[in-house]
Amino acid sequence: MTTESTDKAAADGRITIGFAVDGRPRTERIAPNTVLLDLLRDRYGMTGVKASCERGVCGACTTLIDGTPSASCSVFAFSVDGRAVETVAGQTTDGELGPVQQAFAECGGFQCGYCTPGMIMLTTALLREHPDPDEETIRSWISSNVCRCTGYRMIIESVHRAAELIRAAEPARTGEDAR
Amino acid sequence: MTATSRIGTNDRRTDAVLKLTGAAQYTADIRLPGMLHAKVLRSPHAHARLVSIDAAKAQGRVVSVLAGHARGVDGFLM
Repeated sequence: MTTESTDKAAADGRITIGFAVDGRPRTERIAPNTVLLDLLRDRYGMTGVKASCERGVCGACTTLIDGTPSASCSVFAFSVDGRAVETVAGQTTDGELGPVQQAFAECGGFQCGYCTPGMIMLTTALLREHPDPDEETIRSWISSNVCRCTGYRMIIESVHRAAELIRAAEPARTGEDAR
Repeated sequence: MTATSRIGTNDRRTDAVLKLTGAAQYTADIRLPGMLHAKVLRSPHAHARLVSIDAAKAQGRVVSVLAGHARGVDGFLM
């Protein structure tokens, strides 16, 4: 590069973006048509983000973008410039399962496991918005994610259980003024 | 109940951690050195006779175009 440009698009058409993945800052040069899913899987090797329908209908690739569940197959990578992306890889702390993962383990809320990372991210977002969701709310939210094993009953139970686990952990996290 | 009985107890599945962390590797997650990707191109017409295949546009952009007749499979080209 010989000239400095205020535009983010370089002469070769590539775009430089800065964003965070599971809290880690990243800077990337990407083609304008790169989608977030491919960036995560192919460049970072984050295969925990699953590729399935690749047209935004199955939810397997669900990540959180600034907290909002999004089908990463249908999000242009340039659009996450300046944003925070959360994936299933950020759910564990020092190898310990997070509360949502713990709940899915306890309730057997997974079979083949392919939809599971997406379900876990969706549940994470759901419980931030609705800490104690009723069944109707859970059904409505998870309707965006397909489980082809059709194990929805246990997934719904897992969401309820995750809500319990998170609420139970809350007083410890916030100190004595839990009530 | 004996100490070895599983009845009435919950066991964590052995595949739980792999699948819940996204560490489980599925076919689409595997990358091997020199790996190629194949795509099957089917006729858009049901029950049509395949007369010829023109792969000229693909030359130089793919490693190989394999048509049924090239592999000695009967019934693809008449």
